[in-house]
Amino acid sequence: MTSEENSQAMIDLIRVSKVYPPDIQALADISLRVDKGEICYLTGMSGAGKTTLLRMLCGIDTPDRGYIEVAGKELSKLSSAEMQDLRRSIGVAYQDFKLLPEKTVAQNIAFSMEVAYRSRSFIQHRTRKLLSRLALSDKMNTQAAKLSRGEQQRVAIARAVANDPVLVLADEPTGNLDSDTTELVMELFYEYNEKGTTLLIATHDHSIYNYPGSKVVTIEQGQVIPAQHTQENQDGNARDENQSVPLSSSQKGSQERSQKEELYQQLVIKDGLEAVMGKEVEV
Amino acid sequence: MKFLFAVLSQTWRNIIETWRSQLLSLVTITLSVLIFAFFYLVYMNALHAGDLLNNDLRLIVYLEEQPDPALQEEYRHKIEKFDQVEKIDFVSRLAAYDRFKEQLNENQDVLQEIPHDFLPASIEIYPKRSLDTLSRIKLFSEYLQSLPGVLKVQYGREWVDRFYSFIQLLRIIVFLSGALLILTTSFMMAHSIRLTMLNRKKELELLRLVGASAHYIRVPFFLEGAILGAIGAGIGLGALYFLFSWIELRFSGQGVPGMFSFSFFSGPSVAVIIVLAMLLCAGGSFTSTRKILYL
Repeated sequence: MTSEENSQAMIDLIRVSKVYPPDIQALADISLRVDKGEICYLTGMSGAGKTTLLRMLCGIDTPDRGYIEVAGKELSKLSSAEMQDLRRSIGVAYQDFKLLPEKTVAQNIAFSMEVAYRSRSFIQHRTRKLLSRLALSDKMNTQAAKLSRGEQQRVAIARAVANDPVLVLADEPTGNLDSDTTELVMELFYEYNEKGTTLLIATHDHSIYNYPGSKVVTIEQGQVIPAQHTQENQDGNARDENQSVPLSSSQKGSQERSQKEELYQQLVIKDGLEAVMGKEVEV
Repeated sequence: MKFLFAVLSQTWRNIIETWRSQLLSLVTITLSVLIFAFFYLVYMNALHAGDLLNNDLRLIVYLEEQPDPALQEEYRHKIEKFDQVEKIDFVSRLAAYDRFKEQLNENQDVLQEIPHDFLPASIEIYPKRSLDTLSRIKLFSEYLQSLPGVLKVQYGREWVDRFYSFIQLLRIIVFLSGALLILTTSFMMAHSIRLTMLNRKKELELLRLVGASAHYIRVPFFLEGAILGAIGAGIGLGALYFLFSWIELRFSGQGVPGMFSFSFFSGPSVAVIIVLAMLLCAGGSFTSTRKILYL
């Protein structure tokens, strides 16, 4: 078994920071781990850094400092081709949907499957199935521009899950939906989760993060504040992220993370020493 | 196979969706190919005509002295060293006298008082025929003139010079129209593909976000360029063939054109022109995709 297969973590962030010019601290020393098959809700006020975090996880943005690993791959070390490989295995539902307005709903959903060279019959079958699940069957050949925002949001979600991703990143997936359609969307997410897909959902919607066993991480001003598991949340037990992570991980996962943190810490110290001494330092 | 199918369907979809904006490119490619192919065809036929005209072309080198066999061999060696020749004939003074006498027919008696060796010995050189015989012949004559013991070099200088100038002019026009073809085709294609990409910027960004490989994004643009190049060149050559057939039908047997048999491009030449246009257009697409996609 490779180390990738051994790893329990789907997402692993260690001390990730990001500052946008001139001096907007989007993320400050954030550490977060989401295990394979886990559901993690990212909550926090607007501008807290949720979207920045998701953008980094799918490689749209890069951190100023820190270590990011997705599906066993360290993002900073990936070549362009490897990054594209990884992106094909991640489904992303963007906050601004990123639909092509002049294309039909079916064409928009087919997009993510076409780049993975899925057969035409598979694409047609999967598109119909997803549209039916999200109550959009009658909109299949409608141009995306002619849909309501709620409908566009569902199309973006359908596109995110269409290619059987190992990880789904969803940014405010229910922001424009009523309670009935929110339920449809969440049922779809849970179904994929049961099949093994890891979910990281950034949301304001308190009503959706009650799914048993899922993790809730709150971000405020670019920092993680107590993360909870929904069951624990109900008991009123908030935990620090560094404490809460091992609860949902195996012992092996926890050891693995400690090793990574230690290695990362050494590299940070090495960089610091090199900067001070002006020469290469062995760690 | 899946990749091929995916990029082909993507290319087809692109062409269907953007054919209106590609029309101008297609017209430009067609015209460029037509202009280039027209002059190239004229050039090829002129060379062919020149080839027919120089069937009897020979250089006559008049010598001061009758060369002995050793000197003949030396001349032969020097001539063959400079250029390939079909045949070299040494004509002695007596042989020249006999020929002259024969040409005079019933007037041969004018030669009665004249010594039989009054004509100079000469060398008749038949250059090896090729497409650029005419351009070489001038240089050849200059070289021969520089050999020791040579009195004079004679050939149909006047018509050769004129024809050579005409061929030179045609060559320049072919070169210029070739350059025009290269510039317009590649620039037009690059411009057109750039516009297409800017129009589809959102789509290309999204393709990157859903994990499309660089080849998946780029190859359809190359194919689009190559297909437009092939169609443009095909139409251009078709139009030229139509024009050629019309001229052949209209002017056959009349005046100067009637003296020569003109021919259209051979199959391989047509294929080369089409492939060239395809490569130029694909090259134009390549520069655009490199500049815009940053893949």
